Amino acid sequence: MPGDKASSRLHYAWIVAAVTFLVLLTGAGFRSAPSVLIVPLQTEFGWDRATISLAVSINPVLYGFSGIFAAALMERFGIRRITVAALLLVGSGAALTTLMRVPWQLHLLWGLVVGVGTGAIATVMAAAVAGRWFVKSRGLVVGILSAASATGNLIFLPLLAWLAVHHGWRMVSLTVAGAAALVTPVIALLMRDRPSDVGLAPYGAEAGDTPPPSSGSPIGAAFGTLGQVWRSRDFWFLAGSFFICGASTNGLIGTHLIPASIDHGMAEVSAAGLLAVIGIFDIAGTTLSGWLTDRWDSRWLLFWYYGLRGLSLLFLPYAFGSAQFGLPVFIVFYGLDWVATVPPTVALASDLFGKQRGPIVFGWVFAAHMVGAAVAAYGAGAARTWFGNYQAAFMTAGVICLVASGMVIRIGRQPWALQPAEPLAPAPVASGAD
Amino acid sequence: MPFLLLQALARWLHFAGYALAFGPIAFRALVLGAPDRSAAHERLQRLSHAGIVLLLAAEPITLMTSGLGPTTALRLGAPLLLWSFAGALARAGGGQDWPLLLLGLGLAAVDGGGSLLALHLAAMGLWGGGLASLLAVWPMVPQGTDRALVAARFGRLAALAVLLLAASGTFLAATHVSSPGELITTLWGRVLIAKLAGVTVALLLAWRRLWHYELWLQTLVLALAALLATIPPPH
Repeated sequence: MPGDKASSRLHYAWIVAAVTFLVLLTGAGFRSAPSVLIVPLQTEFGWDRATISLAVSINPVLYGFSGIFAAALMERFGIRRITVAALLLVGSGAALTTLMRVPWQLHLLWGLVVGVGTGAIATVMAAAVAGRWFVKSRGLVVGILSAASATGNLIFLPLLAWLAVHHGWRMVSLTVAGAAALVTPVIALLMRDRPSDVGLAPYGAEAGDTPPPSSGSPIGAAFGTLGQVWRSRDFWFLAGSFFICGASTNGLIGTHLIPASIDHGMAEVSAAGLLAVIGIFDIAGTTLSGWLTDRWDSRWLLFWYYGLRGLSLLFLPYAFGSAQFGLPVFIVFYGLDWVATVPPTVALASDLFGKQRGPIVFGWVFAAHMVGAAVAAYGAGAARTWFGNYQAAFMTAGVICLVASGMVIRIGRQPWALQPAEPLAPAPVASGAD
Repeated sequence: MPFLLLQALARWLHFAGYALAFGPIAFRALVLGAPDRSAAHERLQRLSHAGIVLLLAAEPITLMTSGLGPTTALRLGAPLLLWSFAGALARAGGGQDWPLLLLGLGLAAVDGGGSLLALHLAAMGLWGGGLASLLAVWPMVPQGTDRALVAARFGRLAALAVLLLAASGTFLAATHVSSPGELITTLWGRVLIAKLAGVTVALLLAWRRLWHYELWLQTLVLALAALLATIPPPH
């Protein structure tokens, strides 16, 4: 029984965190699949990049927004049930893509069904786990869960690319469905909604540290907070910079690096390997960023992250011409700050808007991230169709990263004056803006 | 012809933007001294921001007329990097303008392709942007010793800029014409003559301290320079 763990040295919170890591890791794998599907789908059905990119762009929007509202469902039905339901949704959506024949089916299945499902097992789940189970080391848990996404890319991308090349894109969809099916029983067996379910207090909790019980409507709290911070310049700087973060990571590189590499004569498996290597550096970068966030001003960290990311994207069109030297340099730079923006952004949201409302603010900021990802995923595909290459997309992304760099350094130091906080549901913290 | 004028407009916006974006920084560093939060420094910052906007506004026109080139991203990136670094330096408390000045030189190098044209552009920014900065802060400089000091410092800076402009401009002109007659017989030569006349009058106005008129004339000279950069030279 899980409750028996109370007497052991390992707090059950770490088991819950490990299970959550597993779910987020596979969730990242699910979300990485579209990037290896673009070229095979184009080849088999003759759909252009813009058409396929539309599905890829619907997915992150729903991924971002469902994260905010799935909190309400988790409050009502529990983390375990909603996570299991989300995994079943992802699995069935992925499996059904093998039967699709026309673009709207791709938009419905990969965009809508898988998008909603992956959103529910990312932001909300990490938020619930970090918020309910941890008082001590909460930042570390956020960092680790953020790194789960990178690890998922690392594991799944080369595998899915290999499957796409050797066994066809349908095998990719079936693998995603199978992975969802495998993880589901693990969740059902090991996940617990709250520490009290196993007779424990949150990890590191002292008297008064117990997270406030939820009351009222989480959906109302989410919109109420948005209504309050709407007029804050700092909120828009955070949301705007994270919009750019999503555009330049998930939307552009996560979706289009493989097709762009193929355009430059690289084999699909090798190209997927590039993203995987980015994932390796991402793990190191995210962990380091979490460590730095505890010690340095988050504004300065984000300033450098976005600035260097912008410069590396401006450099990318030239890097393709120098696969021996240029591309590896890009991979290292880019990988190191892929998700590194998450810990300082979470910290800033909390510092500026309060410990209780900060996570909800971050939930909205994260939604902006995924809207940015969607815009870039579609926009880069459209630019590729229009111009015949990705140069305009990479340069635009590089330039807007410099804008983000200028925005974050102008975020104020004074906490925003908020109305007295009402008790809230455990709110989104972060799952990794992979 | 409209296409040529559009290209010239893009160049003019770029040149004016360059002068306004980087000139105030040079003025702040070399004439006023270390940045602080005084009204004069804030006015220079606003002037620099206006330059950034002009630099950014030039690129869509360039894209329309010349398409997406390898330097487009650098030309867009430089003003944004300036905006970003300016914010960072302000947060750090100021006092370090050299990264911004290096960025200005870098953009001039991108525009000039590593040739003497880069030096010509940088000197143009120093003179024109410095003059705009002088006019912007002049009412805030206390009467007496301070004004004399600022005017003297700017005078030295402007003289250096004009020397660099003259030297680099002479060399550049010499590479484009094979005989003095081409200055009269070709459109490029005639525009160059007009530009030189404008510069000469601007220097006279500077000597008489008619700075407002000098600035307007410099704006016109920049337009001629933009036209010069657009039409093909004799050689």
